[in-house]
Amino acid sequence: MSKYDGYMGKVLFIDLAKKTFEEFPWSDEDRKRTLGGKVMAGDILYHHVRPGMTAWDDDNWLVITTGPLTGCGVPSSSRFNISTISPLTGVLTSSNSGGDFGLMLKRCGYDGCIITGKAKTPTRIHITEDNVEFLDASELWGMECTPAQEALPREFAKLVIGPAGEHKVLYAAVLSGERCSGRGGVGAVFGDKMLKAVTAKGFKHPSVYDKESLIKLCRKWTKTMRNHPISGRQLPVLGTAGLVSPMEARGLLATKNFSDGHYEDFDMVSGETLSEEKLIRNSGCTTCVMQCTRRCYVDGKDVKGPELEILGLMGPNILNNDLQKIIDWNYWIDEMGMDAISTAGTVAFAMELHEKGLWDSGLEFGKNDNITDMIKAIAHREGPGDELANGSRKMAEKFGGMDFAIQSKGMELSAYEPRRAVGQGLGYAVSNRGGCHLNAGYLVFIEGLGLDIDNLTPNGKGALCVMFQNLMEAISAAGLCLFTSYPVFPGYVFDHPNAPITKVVTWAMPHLGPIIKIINQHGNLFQLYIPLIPHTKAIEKATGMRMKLGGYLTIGERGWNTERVANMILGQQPGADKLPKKLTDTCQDPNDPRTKVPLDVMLKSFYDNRQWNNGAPTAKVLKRLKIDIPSKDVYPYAY
Amino acid sequence: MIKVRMFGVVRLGSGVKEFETDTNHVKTVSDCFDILNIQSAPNADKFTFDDSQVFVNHTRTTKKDYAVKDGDEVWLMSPAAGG
Repeated sequence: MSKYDGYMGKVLFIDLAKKTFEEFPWSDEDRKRTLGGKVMAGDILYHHVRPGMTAWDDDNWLVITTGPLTGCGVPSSSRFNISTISPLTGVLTSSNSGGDFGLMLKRCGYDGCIITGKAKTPTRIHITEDNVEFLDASELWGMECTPAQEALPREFAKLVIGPAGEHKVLYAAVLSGERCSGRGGVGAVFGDKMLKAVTAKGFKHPSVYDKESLIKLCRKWTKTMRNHPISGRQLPVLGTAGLVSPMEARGLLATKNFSDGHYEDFDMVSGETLSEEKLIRNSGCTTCVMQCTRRCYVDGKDVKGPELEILGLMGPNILNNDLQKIIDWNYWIDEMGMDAISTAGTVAFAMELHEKGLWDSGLEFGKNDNITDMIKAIAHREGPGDELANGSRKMAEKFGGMDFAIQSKGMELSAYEPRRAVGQGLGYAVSNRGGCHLNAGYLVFIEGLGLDIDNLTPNGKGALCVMFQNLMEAISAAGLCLFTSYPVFPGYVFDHPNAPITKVVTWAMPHLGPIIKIINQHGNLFQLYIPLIPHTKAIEKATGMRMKLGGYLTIGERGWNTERVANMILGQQPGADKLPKKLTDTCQDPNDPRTKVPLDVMLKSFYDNRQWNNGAPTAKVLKRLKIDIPSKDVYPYAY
Repeated sequence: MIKVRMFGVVRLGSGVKEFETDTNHVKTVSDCFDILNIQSAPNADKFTFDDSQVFVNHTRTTKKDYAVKDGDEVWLMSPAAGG
């Protein structure tokens, strides 16, 4: 049990090989240090991993975690996290999803669940309040994600894999309803463990420390989000798909495997066209006030529509202007159980390999009639699909083309072309889980999309990147959607993009590096509450735990450092924070030398802000964050 | 001719995708909004330079009186985010 409300007070440890379960020790001190979610999972894995360990080891743990706000009635709080060693990158991955599994896991009485070992035959784990069952899943094995979920009782919350997970595609996803835990191949780890599904059904509810105040706060917070130009207008009206045209306007729309940032036919695959011609209605995650999901038809079926990532990466990035085809591919990628970003990035890389005469998979830029078949071939590891199933880094190691394999640490980048948002480029390079736009800190939001700070200067980007990463990490740890961070910026600056105050804010941000560095390195000094970040007060009201801005940012920083050290224990070397040469050495606009990512300059500032030495957390920062320093033989960088 | 294209909430709110005009009707980027609001449906949202992001030939301008010329393509859009 926990002295804090909001938590269920127990973490479940399940051994698939032995078919046993027990309680995993997790104390209130641990809760205070990590909050939950991604940071909690990272901490658990940090204490578990050892040099040389891989995704396929029997004791590679799948760590499924919720946050203290999950199930407490806070807006957009249905998120849960799955962390494990990624087969795609070889280091930790964390994949966050908005399905209903996290809510139901808490209703079963657990804040998290760790799965170890491997089953010998296809298995479904079923979790209830008092029991864990190990059930035969032979009849589900081979099924696509929707049929597999439909074959299970409707009242259960579910996690399932599709054929891609079963065939250990390195970027296979896990689905909960229609929501994907995609990045890093958690689905492949499920498949390797012969784990087709995890289901849960319970009736408990977390207690709330100060229910009346929390309800009051949530009402106000919901109102703020609904009135905000981004969370209340753009996301509900256009979804993330609404980014295609703003990205095109700023040269950020990855085109032809990141060869350019502009695509002539962009409007044929834009969010506006999607809304005008294909949209049936909106939907979204449980408890969410934004409802940013688009719903479209595929063969007459009402299905989840495409997000920005796949619109960009399966549109301009492969020179395809057929919107319905993207909607169809999005559906099939989900049905196969794959990460859409890595699938699309790998397809684009295969096309450039073909163009350069290095390898012919049958995929070519501008040719879109064989992609549905390729998606299925990847999932089943058939023909050339078997190569694409390994992701672009491994393909480059085999066929060449590493300079234009658009990945970082083995994970494919999302659709933002970083040569026109260099801070986003820095984020891609340093992201712990690899080329992820969110783990990156999502500076592109202030480098042109929402705000308009100088997108090409390296100045201040290291400091801003660290601050945003820490904040987003903490938001994740609480069990909240990252989109709740948009109202951190007052709506006024978006409603009045040309107003003098907006101009001052956007001009000033890159110049605030030294001040932001103080926040980054001395977060605990800021024991204050900022109404624009109601997350901290919600945590206090839900749990009874003291939580101010400084402590919150420190939890995010702790998460970042724990994951980084775990990655280095697993074998990541200093110097791993890099981007393909196409993005760092070649200008997007040959006439503008600033249109490439000045990574070296920004890395120096980033490491300085993080108090890292060439990408490795130092003893000083680990001590400050109260992170156990590993022994010298596994982590020599702190000695 | 000057081509004016709408994106984001500006397009969905006004119901106008694009229109063409010329320097007899439009001298500055701000004037484009006058035509947009005339063309949009009676009950549609109205937009102004102050609440929109404006691009001329792929370059953002924050100047209301930015002069447009024949051959320009003007984009009127709203700030956006996602991920």
